[in-house]
Order: sequence, then structure tokens, then C-alpha cells
Amino acid sequence: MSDPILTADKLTVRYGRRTALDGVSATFAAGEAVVIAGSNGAGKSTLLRCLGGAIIPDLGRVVPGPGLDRARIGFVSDRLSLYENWTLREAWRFHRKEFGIAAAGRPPIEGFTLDEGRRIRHLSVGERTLFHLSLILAQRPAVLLIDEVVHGLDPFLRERFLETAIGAMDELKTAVIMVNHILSDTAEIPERVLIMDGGQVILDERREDLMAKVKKVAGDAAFPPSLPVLFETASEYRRDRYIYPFREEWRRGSGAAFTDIGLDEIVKAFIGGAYVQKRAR
Amino acid sequence: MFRKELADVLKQTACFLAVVAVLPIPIILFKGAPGPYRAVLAPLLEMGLVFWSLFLGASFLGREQGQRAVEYALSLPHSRLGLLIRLAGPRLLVELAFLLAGVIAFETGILSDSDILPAGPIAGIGLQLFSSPCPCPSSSRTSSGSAWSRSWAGMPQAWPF
Repeated sequence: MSDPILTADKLTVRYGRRTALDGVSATFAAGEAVVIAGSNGAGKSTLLRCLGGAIIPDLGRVVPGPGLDRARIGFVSDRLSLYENWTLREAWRFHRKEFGIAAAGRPPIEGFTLDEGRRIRHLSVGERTLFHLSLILAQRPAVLLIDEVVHGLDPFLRERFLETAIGAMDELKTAVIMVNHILSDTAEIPERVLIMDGGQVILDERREDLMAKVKKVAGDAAFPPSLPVLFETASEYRRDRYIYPFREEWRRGSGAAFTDIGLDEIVKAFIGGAYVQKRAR
Repeated sequence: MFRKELADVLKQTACFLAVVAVLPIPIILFKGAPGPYRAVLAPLLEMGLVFWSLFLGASFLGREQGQRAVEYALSLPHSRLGLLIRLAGPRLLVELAFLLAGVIAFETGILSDSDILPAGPIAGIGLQLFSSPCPCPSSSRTSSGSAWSRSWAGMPQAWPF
């Protein structure tokens, strides 16, 4: 891993009696793309808000990498928080001033233009998301935090959004940390996957390693009981078992047919496994 | 941010003063006023000082909440203390100017003291009411349960940036 740009050091956040983050530690490198997935209430958004400075943890701290100042952290929250009564022009002027941005115009997003006189509250979710992203990109962010906003976009705008984020990664070596649990169209982006449950990081793996370690056995094929089953789904028509951590030597002699699966399905298996464990407790 | 907040608070204060200035007219016209315009205005202004102080304190971060911009404001590149100064500073300035002008107006006889209270204690009450809603931002890091005060907990320590 190259130099860390942002480190979460044993972050604990409590909302009353509920612990949203429970001693979470993670390090993010410059230019790295990380996806954070997990069940609802796992602590993903809280972690992102801590990294973005919107929440101060009860315990632990966020440690910036060398030379990183807060103006170069871009945070697109799932609430798409901006001053709603302002026009786009006013919002841009304010943002530029607060973040010390020298450029005269917002970076354009290909295929996306808006009347600067419109008020933010009149924008659709998609327009608002892309406008927010264009504000953030003007900061030339070293870290881009994106919290589950991709799902609100239509396929065309989603593609624009992702291409723009990837473009920033290439041009600025921006670390992109994205909370997302639908990975069907973003599966190729992350280099690393963090899965959270119960306010903790239960998995932190490089994507290739993770994909090599999780396999599926479909159907009722013979199955050695010693294999570690992460999650199992069974219905009248179908039975799937997800194995983690998988070892290549099990392909020989176990009698089961192990198939490779996509990141989307891997994340689903981990989340499903976490629910099963919760129910068992 | 400071200037924008100041402009907003000044605008609100001007609106409030305009309402207080107009209020004696219907009272004089329809109720049979107990005295001249200034005599009707004085108690209204005194009460106004108190209520306006409470409003100014309580509406701290009101624009951010009303426009769903709290998270955006918190992610601006300022420490919590810096943000507090930018947002609460203009309010405190306007509050002090407002109370000072009120005390001067009453003490110099531009407006006569009403029967409610002399201007000095009224200003004191006003300042207390202004500051009473403010402890939430400076609450300790363990005292709160809500996401809202979580955003401010540990404010003096701020973020490391």
C-alpha cells in the first residue's frame, strides 16, 4: 500500500445507547478506491461522516496523511446536504470562497449542464447529486467520500457520475471511498472492500483476494461438512452455499463444484451471513 | 460565511423592528391608547428585546437546519470552534448592538422606561435568554444521544485539521 492519506484510528461513535461505530480502524491510501458495504445500520455512513469531519467520534481519531488539509476532502453525503434556498450560482460562489478555490468555473460533467439561476431545492435528485459532485471536484479533492448516492441516478447519469469519479482518480490521484451495497455496476471500481456489521469492520480485503476466497456451491451436491460455509440460501427450487475462506485444493476430491461469483453476490453473502449470526445470538 | 450570516440576522432584525414599530398604530387606533405613540411602543420594545434575544439564540444554525445544510456546513474546512464563531458571532454582535441600542434609548429618555422593568435588567434577561439555547454545541462528548449534538460533541478538541 502507498502512503496513507487518511486513517481511522479506533473510532467509536455512540448515539445514545446504540453504538454506531465500535473501535473501527482502517487506513486509506492515496489514489485507492475502496467500497464500504454492509447491512443497514452497520455503521457505514457514520464512518464516512467521521472521515469527512461531519461527526466527531466519542473515542479515537481521524488522522490525516502528510500534507492533507480538510479543504481537499470532498464529501457527498446521502442527504445531499446543501443550502436548498440558494441558486446554483450562489452555492458555487459560497463553496469556492469557503474552500479557497481559485478556478472561475465549476468543472464540467460531460453531458450535464444546468441553469445557474435555478434553486437547489428545485433540482431532481440526479441533478443535485451531479451538481454536488461538480462542487466537490472543484476542490481537487485528495479524498472523495461518496455515501450511497449512486442509486438515485438514472443509468445515464450514473454512468456520468462514475466516469467523473474515475476521471478524478486518474487525474488527481484521488482516493475514492464509497459506501455502496449494490455493486452490480460499480464492481470493477474498488480495489479494496470493507464490509461492516454491528459498528465493526468484519472484512477488509483486496478485491482480487476476496474474489479468490469466496466461492459458491450451487445445488445439493455432496458437501464435506468441514468446509466453512459463510452463508446458505435454500428454497424449494434452489440451494446456494457460499464458502469462505476457500482453498484451491478443495476443488479436488471434495466432490462439489465451486463457482466464481461477482462482488455483488459476495457482499450479499457476507451481509446475509451477518444476519444469520445475529439471529443465532 | 460570517458576512452572509450577519446579513441574514440583520435582515431578520430589521423585519422584527419594523413589526414592533407598526404594532402601536392599531393599538392606538382601535384600543384607545393610554398615551402617545412612544408610550405604547416602549413596553412592546422591552418585551421585544426579551423575545428577540431568545429567538436569536434559539435560531442558531436555524438556516442550516431549515435548508438541510447542517452536514454541508459541518464538512466545510473549518474547525468546530471556527464554525461556531462564523455562525454564532454575527448573532452575538447583533444581539449586543440591539440590547445596547435599547438600553441607550431607554436611559437617555428617547423612550421612557415602561412599568415592566428598567432597561438594564431587561437587557440582562435578554442576554441570558440569548445564551440559554447555546450550550448544545459545547456539550461534552459523552452527554448527548442525538446525531445533532454528536456533530458538536468534543467541539473544543475539534477535528485534527
